[in-house]
Amino acid sequence: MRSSIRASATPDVAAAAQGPAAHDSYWAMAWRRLRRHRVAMVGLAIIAGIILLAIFAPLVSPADPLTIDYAHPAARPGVGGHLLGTDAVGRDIVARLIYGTRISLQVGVVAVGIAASLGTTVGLVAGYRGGIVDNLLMRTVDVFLAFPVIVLAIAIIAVLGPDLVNVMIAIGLVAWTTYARVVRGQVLVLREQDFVQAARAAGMSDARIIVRHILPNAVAPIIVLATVGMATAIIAEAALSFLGLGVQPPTPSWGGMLNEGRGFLRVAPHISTFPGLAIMVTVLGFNFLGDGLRDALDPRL
Amino acid sequence: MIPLLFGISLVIFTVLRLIPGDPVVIMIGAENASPDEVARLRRVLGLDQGIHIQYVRFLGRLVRGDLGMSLSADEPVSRLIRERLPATVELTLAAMTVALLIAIPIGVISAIRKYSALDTASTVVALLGISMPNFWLGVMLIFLFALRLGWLPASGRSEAVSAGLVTLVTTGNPAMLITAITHLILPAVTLGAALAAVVTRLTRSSMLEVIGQDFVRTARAKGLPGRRIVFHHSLRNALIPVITVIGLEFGALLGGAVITETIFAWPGIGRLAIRSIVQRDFPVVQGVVLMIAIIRICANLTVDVVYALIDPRIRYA
Repeated sequence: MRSSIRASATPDVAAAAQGPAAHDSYWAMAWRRLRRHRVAMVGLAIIAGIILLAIFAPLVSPADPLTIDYAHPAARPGVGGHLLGTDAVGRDIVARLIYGTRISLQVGVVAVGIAASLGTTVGLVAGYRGGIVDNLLMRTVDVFLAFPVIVLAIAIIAVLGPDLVNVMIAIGLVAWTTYARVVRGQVLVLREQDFVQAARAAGMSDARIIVRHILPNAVAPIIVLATVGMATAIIAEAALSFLGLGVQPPTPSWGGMLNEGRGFLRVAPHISTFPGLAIMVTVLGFNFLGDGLRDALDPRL
Repeated sequence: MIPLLFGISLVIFTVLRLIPGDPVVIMIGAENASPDEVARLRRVLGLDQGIHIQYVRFLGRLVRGDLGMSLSADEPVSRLIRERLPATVELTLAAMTVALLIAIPIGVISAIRKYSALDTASTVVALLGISMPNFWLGVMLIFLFALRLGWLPASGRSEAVSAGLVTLVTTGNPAMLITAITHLILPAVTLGAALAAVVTRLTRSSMLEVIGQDFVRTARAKGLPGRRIVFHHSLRNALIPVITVIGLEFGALLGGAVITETIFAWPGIGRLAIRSIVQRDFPVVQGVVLMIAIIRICANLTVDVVYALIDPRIRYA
């Protein structure tokens, strides 16, 4: 039964059979294609760097992100031994940026996790069941899509209250629709294929067919969506924190830092500049990797 | 479209009723909220009824264009929205104009001069534009053009651009129009930047695809001037996917307007929404969100009509 994964991957393998390693698995070949994708490798390097910073924050950070240097508030970069200066209160910006990676990555991973699992489940059920169930679920998706992402997220935050966990939930609850649509589209094609018919003829339960045979074949687009979704989630978290509806001070969040610097734009523009750059570089990393994954996982494009 | 609106109203109504905090207490202030007074106000506002009855009443008023009263401003929600909607529409249209004026020419040139310096530069800038949070761009633009250079005002809206135009035409005095436009530039660029990035890349790839097709080669072979091939044969075909994406992105633009309006103190419905959420003024939030959803749906309909204008093969029965 497990062979269905490989069976459906056969056309891809056959298409690439001219290559030197025709016997390799789909994933091994995708990885090889990804490694040749220069932009994707740059993205991967950026992401790896950010993850390392998040894990080893206490070791690499030059200072504590909450400690106030009373002698140097709003110090310019380089002043008072602060590489990128201090914020309006006198906290080291490098330290806060480094600790901020933890917030951004956490929100990204959890929000994408919520969105991907909810959306994939809805997409699988809608696509496989069809009929009224499909109709009902997809109309629900339409309703969610009619709201601008940030407006809906703000409304959810208003209900739940602004804090880290609620930001993750809000972003996850807003972002699931894309997964539902894409997965449903995949399932519609997959469920008509011979190996699914065979599984059904063999008396396999629907749940088992969905989990064992359909889902593994729909994983590639989910991975691409999730990678790009990390970028969107990180921007959304920053936007919510920027509006004061996200992670609350004094926790270092890039969006919050940017917002705190707004009032000091005239005297200390660097306070808002660096968090914005950090967001941009991180988001760029995930977008780069997403582009590369799209090319690597779907050789037909 | 009607079931969709029904679903939207149901979702937003339910979500907002879940907000913790009694709106009546917030309305009259915790210190002078005597139980009698609270009960009286709840009755007046209809908040003492069951939630399903509140919803049916809400729907009944909605079809008559009545969005209820604001809890904090003592004004009809429809009036609050009507006062602010023109500002948001102006901002969104300006952002779209800025985006398309930048994106389509650059996208076309990038496609025609593939791998040229301009093509590479535009690809890099577009990638940065997609990854840049628009609130950061807004803050940086304020710093550079308002605080440092002093060329443009940092925030606020003076008069409607349309009002400025009318003044120019009737009195010949351009001052009002100029002030209106200078206030509009920074917010419009902030809001339009991401769209410009998306459209540039899409126009480029769409043009490249069309240029590679047989009928373009035929056109070239029969000696048509390059300009005619680019504009008449290629661009028209290449614009179809671009228009689809513009329609889809219009919703994102409205969402982005919420943030842009907050940064620039732009008196539109986005700022109204944020303020109302903070004040738990849910009739207003409800009205604004419904309004935004309706505008989005109308935008999608418009896209369908524009298709038919650009591509005569598309006909709706």
